[in-house]
Amino acid sequence: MTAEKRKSFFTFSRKQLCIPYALFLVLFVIFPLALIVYYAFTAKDGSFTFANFVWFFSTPAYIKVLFRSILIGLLTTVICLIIGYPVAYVLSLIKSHRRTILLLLFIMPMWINFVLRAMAMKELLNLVGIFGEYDYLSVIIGMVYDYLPFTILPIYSVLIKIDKSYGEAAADLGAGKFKVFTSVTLPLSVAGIVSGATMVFLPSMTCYVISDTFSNRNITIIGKMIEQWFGSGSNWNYGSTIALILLVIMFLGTLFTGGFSKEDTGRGSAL
Amino acid sequence: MKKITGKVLALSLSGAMLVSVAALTGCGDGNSNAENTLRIYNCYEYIDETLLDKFETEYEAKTGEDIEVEYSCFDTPEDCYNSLKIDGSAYDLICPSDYMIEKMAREGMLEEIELPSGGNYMQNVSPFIKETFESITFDGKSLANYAAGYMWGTLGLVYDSATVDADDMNSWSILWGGKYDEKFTIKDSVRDTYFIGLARYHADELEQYRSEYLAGGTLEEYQSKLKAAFNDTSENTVNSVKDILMDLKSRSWGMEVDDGKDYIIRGETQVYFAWSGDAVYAMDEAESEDLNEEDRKTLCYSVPEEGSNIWFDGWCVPKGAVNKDLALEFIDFLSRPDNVIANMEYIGYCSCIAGDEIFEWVVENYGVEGGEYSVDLGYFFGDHGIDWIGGDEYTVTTDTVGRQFSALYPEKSVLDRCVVMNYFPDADNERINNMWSEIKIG
Repeated sequence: MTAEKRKSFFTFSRKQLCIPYALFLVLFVIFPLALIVYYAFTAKDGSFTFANFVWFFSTPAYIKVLFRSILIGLLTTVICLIIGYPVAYVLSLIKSHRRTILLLLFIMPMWINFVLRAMAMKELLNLVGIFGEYDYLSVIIGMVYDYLPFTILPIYSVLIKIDKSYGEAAADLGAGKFKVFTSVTLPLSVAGIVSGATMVFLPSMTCYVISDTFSNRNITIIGKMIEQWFGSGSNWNYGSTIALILLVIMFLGTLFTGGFSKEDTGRGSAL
Repeated sequence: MKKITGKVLALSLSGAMLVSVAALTGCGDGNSNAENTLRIYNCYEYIDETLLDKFETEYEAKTGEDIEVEYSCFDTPEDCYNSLKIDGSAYDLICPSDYMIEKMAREGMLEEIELPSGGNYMQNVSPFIKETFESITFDGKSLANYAAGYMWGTLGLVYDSATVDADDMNSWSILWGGKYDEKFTIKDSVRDTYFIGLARYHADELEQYRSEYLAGGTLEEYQSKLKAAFNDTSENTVNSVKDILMDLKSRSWGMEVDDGKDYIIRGETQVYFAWSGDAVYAMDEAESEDLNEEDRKTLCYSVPEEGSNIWFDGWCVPKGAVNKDLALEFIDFLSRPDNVIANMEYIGYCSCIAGDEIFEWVVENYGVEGGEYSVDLGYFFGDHGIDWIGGDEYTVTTDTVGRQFSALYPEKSVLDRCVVMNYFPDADNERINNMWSEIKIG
């Protein structure tokens, strides 16, 4: 009896390993989120109101900046995919020992602080004469430069998991190389594409450090507006309202692209 | 039974986690007991940090008490305000800007402070700064009751003397004139840029006030008219200034808060809307011997004639401060001439502290002796009673008008047209920030 008791003291179920994360979640995700919701639905004096949302949607400038941010996010995502997919594809075909080195080359830039990388890229664009002349182009280049690894890695990690025999079977049945790619490889890698896209689209809508750096602060995106109201505007209610609206848009976007689907295992797994 | 013990263990584990989280977040406090720790909250790059150690050492030598200075930084006065709103007892000594001191004092967030009349601060603070602090009043108090001056300066235009006509820089309006399109930067800072928007909007009145003053009007009247114009936040004005600033933004090369000095040093811009402290820094760097000879530039600084902003930062003690006495002791330490000079050398801004050592240091350091043009700094250094050139007067002769020296210590006639921009009450602040978002979004 006593032996059994002692033994049971040292056993606890696997579920309880999640407790540290659960604590983290409550402290740093749920609690701040609750604060955002609270501030978004209250006036400065703390009374409940919808006025903040009315303010946002009735100000043309904010609708404009919202659409601008979505546009920048979409463009960045599409370009990242166009560049990133072929790279991931080629990487997945390479023999393993060389692949490790090549992969490292793609991951290595992420080890350098992104503000520093942005500054360096800005100087480079300055040298070729794009910076200061074409603000939108500079910003898009900056965003793509920064977020490209985030598209390559999820796609790559999905691609290497695809069983080669599917392609071989398709080829045996008479499919050409292109046909094999379009009807086997591409559909099987959709999960990677979706996860890469959400990892780029959402942050690039709000990453104002990049838009500020690459446009001399001429192009403002929605993240900057949140910062303004928490800073010089000293109105946390407005700031939280914008943050909440973005959150809802991102949630809907993720839902729409199936970002929550169970098959999607590629997200960041190569990291 | 099994389950329960598992839960107990899990609970104690998570308890341990919480404790370690608490230990982590509190790590700044270290082993401190609040009694002998001075927690300072200042703007980035805004003190010679060797002074912190020096204070610890000197304090121990003087009193035998072992104290520790804990130094943290903020980006903007608004960040400072936000931190203190969340935890009013987080710091013992803070250094916000003029309007933020006023806002915090009005909201009851600051302790009143009284510095000993025999101490370094009261002995050495410039009479000009003292008067300026006393002139900002509310609820029967003035800023002098809440803050001790640290650094001060003006707002103006830095320009490349090789490519820009100096006469153009006498008016803010030149920025809208087309001549310097795509060649100047503006500040991504609502209060500063709104200020020049007002200068443009009220240009005619400002010119009229100036000519009335020069024709013999009183300074008091001139200043109060300027104050009204540069603190105008009425709805009509804000709407008009919006269009004015939209236009300005489209003409500018870009907005900046910190990089503007690099742009003009590298020649990407020719005109730089700057705080005087940054102006001095830019002038120093642009003629630095580290640059290739052909890259060196002679930059100048001008405070346009319509009028400009005078700003300052000051040391304050928050309401919840634990160690007020030590905080006051530190202000006194910072106001001692040798430390003032160390700080001015490091930061490059102009101290609120006057006094003969500082005057001599400035004259020596900026080589302003012996020139055609004479500048009387009696308004700033006055009443300190040593014999300087020409008796009691702090007059220097110089041939470097518009350079570092005049950016640090403008002539009295320049300061006559400079006013403080007050804090905006919430409703006005919101109106101006709404306008500012529209300009930013463009």
